[in-house]
Amino acid sequence: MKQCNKTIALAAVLAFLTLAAASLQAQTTNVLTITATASVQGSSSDNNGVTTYAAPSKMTLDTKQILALLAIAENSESNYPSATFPAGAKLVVLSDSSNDFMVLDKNNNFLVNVSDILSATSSGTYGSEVTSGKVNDTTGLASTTVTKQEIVTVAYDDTGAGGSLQFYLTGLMTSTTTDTVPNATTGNYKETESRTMTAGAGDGNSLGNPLVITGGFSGSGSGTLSQ
Amino acid sequence: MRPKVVAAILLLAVGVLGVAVLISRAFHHEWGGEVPGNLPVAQTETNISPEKEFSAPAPLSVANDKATVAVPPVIQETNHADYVRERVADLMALAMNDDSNSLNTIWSELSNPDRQIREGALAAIVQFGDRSVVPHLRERAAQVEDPVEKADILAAADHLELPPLTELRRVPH
Repeated sequence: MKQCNKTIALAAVLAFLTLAAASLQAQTTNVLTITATASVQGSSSDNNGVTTYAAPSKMTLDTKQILALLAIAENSESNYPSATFPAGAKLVVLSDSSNDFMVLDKNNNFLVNVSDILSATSSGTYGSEVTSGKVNDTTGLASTTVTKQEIVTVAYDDTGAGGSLQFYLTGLMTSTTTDTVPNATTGNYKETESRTMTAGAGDGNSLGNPLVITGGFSGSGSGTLSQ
Repeated sequence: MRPKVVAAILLLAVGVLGVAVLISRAFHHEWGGEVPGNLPVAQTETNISPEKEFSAPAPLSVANDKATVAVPPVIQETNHADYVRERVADLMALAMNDDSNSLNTIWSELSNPDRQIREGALAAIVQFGDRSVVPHLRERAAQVEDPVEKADILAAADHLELPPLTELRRVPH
């Protein structure tokens, strides 16, 4: 009985400590939407030594399609138990250095990490970033808003997971971060972040069809973080 | 360990837990939920500056009817920016659903007096991906006077008219 009581007490204390630790924030999570238009190679025919290429097919590629393909691919890799995500699933990217892409359900429960298929990298030839705004030298936080511009490439490739789509979009990404002054006692501060690429371009192929693609993404998030 | 001691520890832990949850909710209510590790999740719209014609919430009333607390303009703007961000995030979350109620809710916000929310609603309609709304979008565009907004609506209609890439067929070999 005594041992049982000790176990219960320990469990309660551990539960509390876990909750307290979980309240410390490390990064914001940005919900991401992708909007793109692909021009897909049309058919061709050869007639008396003249090859005629049909006009390209214009097709859309948006977040829901990406999510549908990600579910199939992650299921194929045994990373996710179903070939479909539940309705309301969302694509998110972490704002920390990992830039991990994940899928959450509509209640923000983690479903699967999709960074093996979808990734974003800073891709400027010279690695330049153009920053404007104010940064607190002590805290490193925006004071209160900082905007950064850089060249970024978002790449999708599910061909290693049984899929047949690969493409990239490269363009100017503008990210804006706004921080409140941290609370002197708790160190808590609110951070709002947005990232947008409106005019990206790239190429790829789907089901063996060559394509060029234009479009971009938009994402933002906010939360209370701790220093 | 005596049962009384255990009970006291449990009560203390539960009490502190409750306070922690209350504080956590007070801090995080704007996230609309959390992911493992309590990662804050929020919006999909980037333009969050308040619109001038938005009517800010009425000044807070206090217990004494004779006195009111005037909300400083900066706080009003912040509240409005938060409201817009949250509303647009809600709309984009609805766009990830497939039901008509979600689409109807998004569609209704095309009439919102706040332009940023209308823009968010339009983006959400595109993400929802229902081609049946295209004629309605064109009707809507015909009623809009602002040329930029009209062009945005027509562009959304044009985009939705295109087939999705997932309908592409494999190249015959």
